[in-house]
Amino acid sequence: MMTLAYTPFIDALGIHDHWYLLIVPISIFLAIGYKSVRCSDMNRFFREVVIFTIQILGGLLLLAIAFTAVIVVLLPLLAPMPG
Amino acid sequence: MPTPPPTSFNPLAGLAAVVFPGAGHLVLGQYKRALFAAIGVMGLFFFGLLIGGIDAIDSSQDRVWFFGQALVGPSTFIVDTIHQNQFKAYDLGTGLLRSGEPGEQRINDGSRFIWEPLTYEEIELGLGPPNTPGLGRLNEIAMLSIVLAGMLNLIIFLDALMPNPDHTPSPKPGGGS
Repeated sequence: MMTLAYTPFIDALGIHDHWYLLIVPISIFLAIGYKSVRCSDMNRFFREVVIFTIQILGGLLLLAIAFTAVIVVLLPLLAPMPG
Repeated sequence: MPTPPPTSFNPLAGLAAVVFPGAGHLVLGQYKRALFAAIGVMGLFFFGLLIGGIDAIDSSQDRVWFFGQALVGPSTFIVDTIHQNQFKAYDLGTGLLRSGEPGEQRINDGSRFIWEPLTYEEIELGLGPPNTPGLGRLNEIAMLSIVLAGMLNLIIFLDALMPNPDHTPSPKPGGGS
C-alpha cells in the first residue's frame, strides 16, 4: 500500500502558480549543454553560458511582450467585442 | 594560415555518446566538454523528472513526446520501464494499463496489478496510487524539459561522431610532433 506523500522524481510538484519561473533553470541547463560543444575556447565557457542564457530569456520575454500586445491591443482593435 | 584538417569520423565516440550524454567527448579526450555536456543534458532530464514526476516519461500515453525524450539514451528507457511496470496497473473496466487516480490503490490480483477503489476511511488514512501524475502546464513543461534534453543530446552526439577539428586539444608546445 502506498501513502500520499510527496516523493521527489516520482510525484509531480504542485507549483502551478509559479510555472513561468521554471524557464530559468531550463535555460541555464540548455546553455551549459549547448555551449559545451559550440564554445571554441573553453576558457570563455562560463561567460558564453551567461550570455546565451540571457539571450534565451530575453528572446522569450520579447516574444511574451509581442504576443501580449497582439492579444490585448491589436486583436480588440481588429475585432472589437460587444460590451 | 594552414588549412584545417577535414572533419574526422569517430564511430567509437558516437557509440559512447549514445550510451551516456558526454561519454563521446570523454572518448575524444575532451574532458571539460564531456562534463558540461553531461551536466546540461542530465540536468534538463532530472529537472523534468523533478517537476513532472515519473509520469513525465510515458511511452504509452505520451508517445509523441517520448520520441523526443528517447534521444537522451538508455536513461529514458530505464525510467519508462520502471514507470510502466512499477507505477501503472490495469483498469478493470477498460482492460487498459494506466496511471492511478486519487481514490485508487494498486494491488496484485494474483496474475497482474489492477486498480482497486479505496474506501473513504482508507483515503482519509492517506492511501492512494504510488505516484501523483503531473497535470496541465506543469506536466507539459516537465515533458518539454526532457525533450529538450534529447534534442540537445542529438547535437552533442553528432559533435562526438564528427568532431570539430578546432575543438581537438592542441599538443603542448615542445611536446614533439
